[in-house]
Amino acid sequence: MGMINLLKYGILGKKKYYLTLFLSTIGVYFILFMGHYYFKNNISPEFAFAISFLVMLVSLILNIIFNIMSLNTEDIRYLYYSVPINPKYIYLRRMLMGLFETIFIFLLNMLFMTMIIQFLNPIFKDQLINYLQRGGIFTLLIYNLAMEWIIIICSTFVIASNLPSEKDILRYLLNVMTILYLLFNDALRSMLSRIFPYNISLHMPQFNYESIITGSLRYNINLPKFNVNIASTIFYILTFIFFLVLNSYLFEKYIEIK
Amino acid sequence: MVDFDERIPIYLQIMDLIKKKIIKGDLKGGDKLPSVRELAVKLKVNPNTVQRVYQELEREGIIVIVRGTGAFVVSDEKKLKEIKESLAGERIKNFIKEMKEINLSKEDLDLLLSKYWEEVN
Amino acid sequence: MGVLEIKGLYKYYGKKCALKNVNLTGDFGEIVGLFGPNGSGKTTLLKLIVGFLRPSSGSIRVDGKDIDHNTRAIVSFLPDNNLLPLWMTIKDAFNFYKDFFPGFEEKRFKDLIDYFNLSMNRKVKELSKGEQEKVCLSLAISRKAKIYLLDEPLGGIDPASRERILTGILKNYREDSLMIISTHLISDVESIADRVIFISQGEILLNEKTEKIREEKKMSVDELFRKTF
Repeated sequence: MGMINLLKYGILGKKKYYLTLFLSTIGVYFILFMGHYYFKNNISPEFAFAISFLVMLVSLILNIIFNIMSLNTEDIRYLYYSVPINPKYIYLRRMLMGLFETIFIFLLNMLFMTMIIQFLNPIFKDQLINYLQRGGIFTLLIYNLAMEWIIIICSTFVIASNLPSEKDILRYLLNVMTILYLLFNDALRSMLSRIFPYNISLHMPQFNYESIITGSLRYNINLPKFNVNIASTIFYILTFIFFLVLNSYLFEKYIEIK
Repeated sequence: MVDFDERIPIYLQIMDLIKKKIIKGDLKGGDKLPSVRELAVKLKVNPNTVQRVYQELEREGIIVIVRGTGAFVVSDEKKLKEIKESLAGERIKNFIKEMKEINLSKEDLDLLLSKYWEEVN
Repeated sequence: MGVLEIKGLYKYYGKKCALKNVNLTGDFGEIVGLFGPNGSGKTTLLKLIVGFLRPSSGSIRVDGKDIDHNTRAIVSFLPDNNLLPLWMTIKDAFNFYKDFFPGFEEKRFKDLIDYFNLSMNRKVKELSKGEQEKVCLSLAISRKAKIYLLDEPLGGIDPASRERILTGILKNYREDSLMIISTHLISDVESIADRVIFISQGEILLNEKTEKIREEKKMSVDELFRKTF
């Protein structure tokens, strides 16, 4: 199918980017490792964790930005748009690549973080495996999807800006709707969880590194608790799908190549 | 290769070109002309123009188009003489007009023609 | 029935009118020259035919059908600037076209690349502007399409290369397709065009067979153009 070819060339085109990402991530961990040797045991597991979390966050944010930019510069350009494939697949391809890259960055960082922290604190790996087995893996998956959600929402702005000039009203509506959604979705979800306080207990553990890396508490990074309220989760899923479908539709029907 | 005067219909110029070649003997009776596409590329003109040329030439009886094979110069001596005369005729008429404009008589013209005929290459 | 039929086409950018009441048809086997000053709407018209832009009103039909993404399978568009991503080599672009466009003529493309003295493993970003143009042109005309739209294929190219490109276009002429060449280098293109269209400020001023213009007006298309504008 055309989508597979689109993905093939999308990935081919980003070979250099992926390589750079890979090498610079490894580079940071390498420096961390070297720093540990040079400064002789001055690196604590908490510090290592904090650094790797930072690296992951920065990579994810940069990657999101690059993906959004690519949508505007590479995808809505002549070559990909000139193939006889429904344009919505061009959009979906970008979204899919964003998801794959998010997961790739995440796994890469997790791997090296595990390697380093295990080296510093040999029980880390077992603790981590334990956490994952208890359902932590789902929590982490949800965070990946949350990143994807960000990409999808941001892509709405790009699509709005590429609508034909006569569709000013549509563009305005789109921008306003998305901004309002971004401002109020948290409030809406809390409201929903108060109105329908039905929760599912999925034994989703909180990623509290304190319990995994026992020791000093100098670096306090606590990932927020994941609220598994049914109504708000459904709302979250629905808006995820809504924006995805809306953007695909807009891409298919309205985008112009200027 | 050939620079056409774009103010005059190109197909006429190509027809002239082919007729001249036939008269000069570059193209002999029975010779196969290049295919429409070949000639179009060679002369850098639209293939439809060449197509029209061949059709007109066939209409005038100068060439014959054999479907599936190509276009061939007619092998008729009388025809070739006709072409020569008609090609020359137009120019001679224009020339005579110009000479009459400067009040040259036919006798003077004959003398001048004999004088200059050898000089010109 | 013509392969291209445009009726009452209007295109607005906000309040600005880019194309006004365009009516024209195109038949198989024609080479049409689309001539007009910069900003006259040539590129807009071509982009509307290939579906990159959507009409504000009026209709365009290609091969009897309305325009959608499937139209792009039978319309080959060559934009006036490089359309290839810079990371590609010529071979990558070749594979891309092979994968996405059914009926892409591989041998024709390779022959054209040879004709233009290029090689398959050169990177797009290393090519000069003229060479990029040649690659994009080769890709565009090696596709098996019913309509070929070439937007300024000779722009910014040295005269020697221009001749090569024109010869390349002629060599690959197809009787079963329509070709529209938009340019402001009229004298180069007029001898290979069957028909010419003059466009100015979004309106069609002239739509006539080239030889007819020469017969009736006794001037070249280039001269007529200069006179008109």
